[in-house]
Order: sequence, then structure tokens, then C-alpha cells
Amino acid sequence: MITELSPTQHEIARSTASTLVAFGGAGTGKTTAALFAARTELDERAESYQRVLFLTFSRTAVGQILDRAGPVLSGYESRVEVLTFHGFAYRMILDFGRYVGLGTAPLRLVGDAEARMGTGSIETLRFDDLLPGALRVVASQFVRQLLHERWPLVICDEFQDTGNDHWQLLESLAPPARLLLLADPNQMIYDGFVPGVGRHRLKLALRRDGVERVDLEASSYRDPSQVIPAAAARVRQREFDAPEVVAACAQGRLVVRSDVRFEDAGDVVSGILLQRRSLGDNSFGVYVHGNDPAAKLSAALTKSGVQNIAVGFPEAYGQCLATMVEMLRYAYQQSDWASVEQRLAVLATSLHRSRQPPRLAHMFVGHIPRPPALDQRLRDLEATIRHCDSRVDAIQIAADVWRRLAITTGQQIWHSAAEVFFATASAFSSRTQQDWLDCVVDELDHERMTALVTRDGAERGTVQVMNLHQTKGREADATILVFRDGEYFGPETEPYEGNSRLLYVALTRARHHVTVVLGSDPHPLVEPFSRLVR
Amino acid sequence: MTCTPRAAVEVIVRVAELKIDGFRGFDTVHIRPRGDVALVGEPLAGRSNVVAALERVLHPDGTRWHVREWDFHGGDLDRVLTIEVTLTALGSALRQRFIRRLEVWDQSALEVVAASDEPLAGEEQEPALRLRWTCKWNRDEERADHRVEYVKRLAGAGEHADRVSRDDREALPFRSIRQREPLAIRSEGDFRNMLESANSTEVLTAIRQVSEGVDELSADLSQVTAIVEGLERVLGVLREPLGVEGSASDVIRFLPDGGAVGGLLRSLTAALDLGEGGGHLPVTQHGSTLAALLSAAEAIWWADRADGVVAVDDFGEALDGPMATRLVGILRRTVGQAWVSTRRPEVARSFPIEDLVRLTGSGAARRHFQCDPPRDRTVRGAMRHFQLQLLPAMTAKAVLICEGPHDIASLRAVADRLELIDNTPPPQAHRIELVDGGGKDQMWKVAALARQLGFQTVALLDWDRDDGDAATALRRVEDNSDTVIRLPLGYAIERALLVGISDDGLRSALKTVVGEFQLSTPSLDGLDRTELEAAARMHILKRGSGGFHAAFVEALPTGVVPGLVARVLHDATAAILEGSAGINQL
Repeated sequence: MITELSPTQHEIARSTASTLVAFGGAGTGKTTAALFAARTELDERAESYQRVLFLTFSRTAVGQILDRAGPVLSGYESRVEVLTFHGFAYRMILDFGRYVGLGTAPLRLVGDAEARMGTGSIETLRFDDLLPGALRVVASQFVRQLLHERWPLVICDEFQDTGNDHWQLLESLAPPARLLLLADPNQMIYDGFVPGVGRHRLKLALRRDGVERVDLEASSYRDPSQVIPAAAARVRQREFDAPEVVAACAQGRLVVRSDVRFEDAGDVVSGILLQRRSLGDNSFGVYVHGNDPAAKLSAALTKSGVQNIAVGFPEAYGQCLATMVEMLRYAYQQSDWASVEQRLAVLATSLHRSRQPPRLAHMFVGHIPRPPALDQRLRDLEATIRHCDSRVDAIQIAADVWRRLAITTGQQIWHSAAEVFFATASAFSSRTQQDWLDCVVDELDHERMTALVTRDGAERGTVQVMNLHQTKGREADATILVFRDGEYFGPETEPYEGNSRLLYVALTRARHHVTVVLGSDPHPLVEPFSRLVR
Repeated sequence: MTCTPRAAVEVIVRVAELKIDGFRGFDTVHIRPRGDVALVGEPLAGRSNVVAALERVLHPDGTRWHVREWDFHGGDLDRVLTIEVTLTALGSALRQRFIRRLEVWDQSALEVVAASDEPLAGEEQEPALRLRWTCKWNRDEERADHRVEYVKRLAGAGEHADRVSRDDREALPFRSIRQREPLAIRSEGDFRNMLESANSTEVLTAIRQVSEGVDELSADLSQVTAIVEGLERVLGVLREPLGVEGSASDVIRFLPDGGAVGGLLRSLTAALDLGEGGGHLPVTQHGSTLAALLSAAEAIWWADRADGVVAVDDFGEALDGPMATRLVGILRRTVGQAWVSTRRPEVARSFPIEDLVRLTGSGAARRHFQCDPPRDRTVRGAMRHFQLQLLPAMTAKAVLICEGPHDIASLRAVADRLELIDNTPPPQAHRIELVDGGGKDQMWKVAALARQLGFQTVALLDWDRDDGDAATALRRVEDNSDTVIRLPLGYAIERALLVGISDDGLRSALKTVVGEFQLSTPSLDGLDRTELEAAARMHILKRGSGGFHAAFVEALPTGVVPGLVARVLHDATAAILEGSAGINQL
């Protein structure tokens, strides 16, 4: 299989450089080359107990790397550890935090929504605490020796977006580990968001002892015709009239729709989806600028009958599970109703992207009056679960809370969580009641925290709706970029260097087809697309 | 037999601590081995239970074996039983396999570090893996629920995730050897297990071939004309009621007992031709020593391929002393850490003093004792010497430490005589062993060692002269013994033997000894009591390399007992049985 690699991919796969920086555009096969590098390391150099560490930024990327790893790393599945930086940090703190003053009590990781609702206690760990905590852990010589023995090769995906903490973690592992850094400066989209992200990071890496550099050929594996990547590259350079862009439009690979009001976007997008499905596309990404519009578009699509998942509510899946668990505990008198209400409030917050908790959350905890209908549903729910007299009933009621409360937001996420809840709660059936409950609570708490840092159990489904900033590392057969009138893209002006990179990332996610949907008065950043309307 | 010496093997795991809580006879026991472990001690004090405890945690089948009510200490079914094993010296492979469960073992404090505010320096600390077997009695189902889990829990990992899987336990280099039937080829036989672990495909193929061969030959058997005719006659009667139509040779086959090849393998036993003219005889026909030798050799072979912890229960049973010593020596050299339970002093003598774990008591009163390792080479030599003095007493409850061999010979002879006269139980009947203390100046060291090993300790001191040396000896012995019995001033054992003997009795016994051993001494006739006693002490009792103390006692007239020595025996036994302490000045 390694013979199928391009010469530069082959170079990456065979390299023994102490630091190798591999540059390549979107879809040029950086990940594949890196997986082969992992295979070569394990085949030819590593001891049988050693592993390769593959670090990336998003939980989605973890899933995609694992999907692609299958054929390349056959037989080595357990020896390549693919983690997000936060997942890695959480694991370090969990495993060894007790030896650097982070306490012996098990630390419970809480998400932002939980923190916003004020339920976090002193034994909890916030998301932002993870990387600094991990840096304390790896400063311990005892721990470092174990880690150095474990990973002779550390791969970092999306290296152009590494901040200071990420870089410090990498440097604590290498040397002795070798570093393979996968980078595309054109996809740098976290500068200004994460401390330390910028072009200087690449310079630092290229100054390391024994560093080597490989530039992958500019040809996309994602779109082997190269039509979409070539057009995207021109768009990044603000050359909307370039032959590559015109060609993409002419071939029907890039379509621009204008004068679409955001209120109508749900219908328009569902129409496009219907059409693309009929042409054989199976996976779809709908990208919108901003979280709130993404949530609204997701709801509109649901209303139009399009099953979709709103990506970008990292905690929602876990909070659905936590709510079900709390219900179960209430059914067995291990919790009070106020705790259930608190859980509902946290869940509502996790489904809301504003800094402030939503009104619904305040209603759940009684800070503001509830509408009579909601109040009645809550009373009914409480009475039903309190009087249920079998384990099966308790599980069913707990899994059905969101429907019983007639809340439509986040339904798809709730369903995904309910499947896992059912499977877990139905296990351990031979245990005594208390043992069973303890096991279910433990298992689901683990699932909740894993989802928070490693993979999102809810991110399944063929139509995924998300903010533009969440598109990196993803791909789909067809993508639809929806822009509203009056959007704010920061203080940047022409040539919109940073935002053009964002457009480039979003455009290059598609394997087959991109549709750009504009309003009647688009932002200057995307206004030039109007010229491509046919 | 070829064995890989230990130095050539990477010691990839050792048990740094074993904690038993509520398992069988143990209330709580913490054993922290210094190197290997020789489990010695009183009968029923739990030597085998320690090996069983290790197996519960480390053996892959430990959670498959049934737990019975009697496994709960004192029959308390409400108690949660735990056995915790801390493993250190983990090699790279084990460190990385269990990395998330690793804890820190402090080599100087000999304990697990629970937490630290400062980053660990790594000098005194090494990675450790703690596994714990937990067992609860399920009253609803009248059975025990038990599991092995990691002591280090990961927050949110779920209870299920804290269990140690069978795969993970199989990865631990631990072997236990029960030394049942040697060369057992049947399923689950030790020999079969060893063969399978070495090259399982080849062994399984060979066994399948046996099965197919038996099938084939038995099919041939059913084809022999005479047999077919016989079968036809038998079957003819039953064809109609059974509704059977095929030929008798198709219907009837001959298979091993139970219908499977397992039955055949169960009936196979090893037979040896040792050139004694009897041809191949089953192992059992050669006597128990050969079976024991083969078992031990199997254990050594097994151990030779194990680079971790090997536990052997009752090592050396039915072996002669030198062979037991040699085999355990080989075992120790070849494995990472040996845990050997034994009641044979010859086995225990192969271990340095700090490796001995002596178990005492029975029922609820069980305890265990270990010696501190010697501080330097000089002390090590001396301790080794005293260890050898104590070894024969390892299964005893208490020791009576005497100044030398003459005291021991005298006490034993008097004890025998007392038993003969009025059935007075000798010290051994109370599990009291007489031990040579190596002289007045050394015996306090033996006493100290005996106490560290958990013996009740009584010391018997002479009192020849009332000088500074005697005072020093008394103080030191008193400091290191539970009880000191001191003979009256001016008395050594030779003089004590003469107390309570009439002049005629004394003269007659001395004459017998002189005559029997053809000693050249001045005539005893006409000597008064003082002269007789002097002759006995100076010219007769201490003659020869071993002295004639026992011969003298045996030569005493029927029914006569040296009174002072009898009192020593009485008081020593009473002190031990009653647990009294202090100095008993006779």
C-alpha cells in the first residue's frame, strides 16, 4: 500500500528526522502520509510495547483520522493513540495529576454550560484548566520517563494552529520522541483566538535541531479532479474571476445562489440537499457564520423535515446523558427533584451558545416563572418517575424526558444520547439494584467526559450544520455555505487575509460539490461570489 | 537440567507488598518481601493460604475458582474480603501496558505514594501496579461475588472499567505450582499446561492425532470378522425395539471412557523404566520420592521459563533433605521472585534470613514475622549462623535456647526419661524446640532473631561464676527473651544433672558410662559425694566430642530423674504455656 503514496508522501512515511514539518494544502494527503509514518515506525523501529501518539485539535478530526487509519494500521490499532490535545491533557491529569498537587480525589471534568449554571464544585476541572494542568504533570520526571518510553513518534495534525501550551506539551515529549508536524499555513484560523497561534510557530519548528521539511504536491486526494481546491485557492487570493473559479462554476462544481433571505434558507438548503441526494451524494455539511444562526438554520431544517445534527454543542450530548442519569437516580431516591431541575437547566444552557444561560434554564430552576404548560409537564414527569415501579419503566421514562417536556431544540442530540443510555442502562442486569445503579452512573459519567474531550457521541448523521470555524478537519460529499446579510467578520478589510483562509478551509471540505448561498446585500468578504451567479 | 541463571533474566516483576484482609485464617496481614519469600512456620498458620491469596489476585483463573463460606475469616459473611498485591520492577512492556494504572512505590518508605504536591524526582520512586481481589457474600443467591480490580481508579472510568481483564492478568508473569500429579498429560494437568504454553499448536495437533488414531483403530476393531459376528448377535436381538438397520460395525464403535479422547488422556499415566529390570512402571509404582522429584523438576522447568513471580506450595514434600535444598536453590536462581511455602528446614536454609516469612498461630490469632535485613556483611554472616541454628525449629511455637549441645542433650535425655516414667509430655509435644545458642556470649543474638521470627523465647543460662561476664550475659539474654531461667550460682548443666541422685545411684550410673565407653578414669570406688561429683563433671560427662550427658541419664537407675533439670523443663514449659515473662532464678 505504501507504494500508492506520492513521492513526497513516501518521504514523510520513511523519514527518520528528529523533527519533520510536512506542508500541504487541504486534502493533499498529509494525514494518510502520517499514518504510514506511524506504520513504518511500528513496523521497523519501535519496541513491541511502544506506541505512536497522534494529536489533533477537534473531536471530529479524531474520528476522521481513526476512520482513515483502518486499512493503513491494520494490526496496530491499539498502538496508535489518536487524541485531541484536550483529551491528552485530561488523560494526563486523570492518571498522574495526583502526583503534582492536583489532589487525590477523582477530578470531574465539567463543561462550560455546567460552569455557567454554577454547579461546579471545587473538585471539578474546567476545560480551560486542562492544558496548564497537563503541563504541570509532564514537568514531573517520573511521568516524563514513562511517556518518553511510550512514544518514539508524536504526530501533530493542524500544526499551524498550535498555541503556546500545545507547543510546550509537544516539546516536553520530543526529544526523545521524533516530531511529525502536519501544517497548512493557509488553514490557520485560530490566530487571534488562541494565545500563541501565528506564523512564528512554524518558524520555531523549522529551527529545531535536525529538522527537515517536506512540501506535499498541490494535488487533492479529497477532490482528485483538483477543481474545487484550485478554485478555493484562488478565492483565498481574492481572485474570484480566475480561470479556476470560472471553470468550477462552468463544470457545475461550484454553484452560487443569491438573494436568499435567511428566513427562507431552511427551505432553500433542503431543496439543494434533495437535489444533491438525487445525484448520489451521501454526506452533507451546511456551514453558517456564527453559532446562533447555525442553531436557527438547524431548527429550520428540522422543521422542513430534514434530519440534521447541529455540530458545535460540545457539552449537549453529555448533558443529555447526565439528565437521564439524574432522573434514574431520582427514581431510586438517590437524588432530589431540585437536582433534576438543575440538570435540565444545564442541558438547556449547553444547547444555547450565548454567554448567558437561556430563559428556559432559568425557568427550570425557578428563577423566573414557568409557563403553565411547562410547569404542568414538569409536574407530570416528576409524578410519573416517582411512581414507576420497575427498572424498565424508569429507564424508559428517563430516556423520554425531552419529548415529554415538548422541547424541540436539540432533539437529535437527545436521541443519540438516549440510544447509548438505553444500551448502558440495560446492561448489568444481573446486578443487585444498588450495584446496577452505581455501574450505570459510573459508565455514563465516563461516556459524558469522554465525549467532552475525545469524541462527540452525537456527531453522527448525514447532514451536519455548523459554524464556519468548526469546519476544519471535516469533509463531506457536498457542502452548502450560507451567508446572511449584515454579517460581521471583524475589523479586517481587503484583502481579508484571515477571513479568506476561513473561506478556503470551508470551500475545501467538499469532495464533489459546493453551493454558496448569499443574501441580497452580502458582506464585502463574500460579495464577489455574486459575480458567479448563473 | 539446564537453567538460565537469574542474572541473565530481566526481572520484570516482583511482589513488593501483599495485604490480606479477612481471607481464611487471616484477619489482616501485610507482607513486604525483601527478595524471595520462604513461607515457614507453625502448622495451620496459613502458609498455603498465602500462596492461595497470591493466586486469587494474579492467576488468570483466580476469579473463576469458587469462594466458599470458609474463605471468610471467622465465618463472617458480612465482611468484605480483600487481597491486595503491589507489583514493582515492572519492565517496559508491563509499564506501558498498564501505564494508566501505575502508581508510585517509594523504595525507602516501602509504601505506595498516594499523592504529592511536588513533582516526583524519580530517584527513590518506581512505578508500581496495585491489584486488589474483592469478595462479598451475596446472601440472596448464597454465593460469593468476587473480582480483581485496579486499586488506582480513574475518575469516571466506570466500575466496570476498573476490573482487571483476564487478558491483562494473563500478561502478568506469574506462575503457581501446586505439584499434584507429575507428567499429567490430561487437560488442565500442569505438564500439559506447560507444553501448551511452550508450543500449543504442536501439542494440540499431537493430541488430535491421538484422538483420530483411536477413532481409526477402534473403527478397525469393529471390522474384525469375529467381533462383527459377536456384535451382530447382540444387536440382532435389539434391532426391532431400537429401530436400527445398519450393519453392526457401523452402529457400534469403541471409544475411550466418557466417549471422548479426554477420557483416554485421563487414563494415561507416565511410566518410567529406570533400569531396575521391571520395564516401564507407572510413577506411583516407583514410590512417593520419585513422584516428588518429578513434581519438583516440573516446577523447576516451569520456573525456568518464567521471568516473574513463581509461587510453589509445600515445596520439598517427600524429598530428601539434600535434594530439596538443591532443587529450591535452582528455583531461586532462575525466577524473578520465588514464593515458596515449606515445612522443610532444608528448603528454608536456601533463603537468606530476610526472605523468611514465619507464620504463627492458628484460627483468629495468626500472625506473621519477618527479620530486618542485616546491615552489613559481618552481621549477615552472624545472622546466617544463627538462622541455621533456628531452622530446625521453624515449625515450632516456642524455643528453649540453651548455651550449647551439652545442655540440649541433657534436657532431651531427661525429658525422655520423664515421659517414660510418668508420661510427662516432652517439650516437642508442646511444639517447643531446643535450640543451640552458641555459648553464653552469643545466645542473646539467637534469642533476638527468634523473637523477630515470632517465637516465644525462653533462654536457659548457666551460672558458673558470679562475675561481670555473667551479669552482662544475663542482661543481654533478658533483654531479648520472654523468659530467662538461670541455674543456681555455681551450677552448669553437668552439676545440675547430678541434683537429686543418690550417692549409690550416681556411682552406679557413672560406672556404667565409664564401662560402656571404656573411659580411662581413676576408680570411682571409695569416693565421697563431693569427689564423685567432681569426677563426673571433670572426667566423665564432658569427655569426647559430644559429651556423655545423655548416656549418663540413660544409665541412671530406673525411676530416678535429675531433679534440677526436670524443674528446668517444667518451668520452661509452664512459662511458654502460660506466657509468663521475666527471670526465673532457680
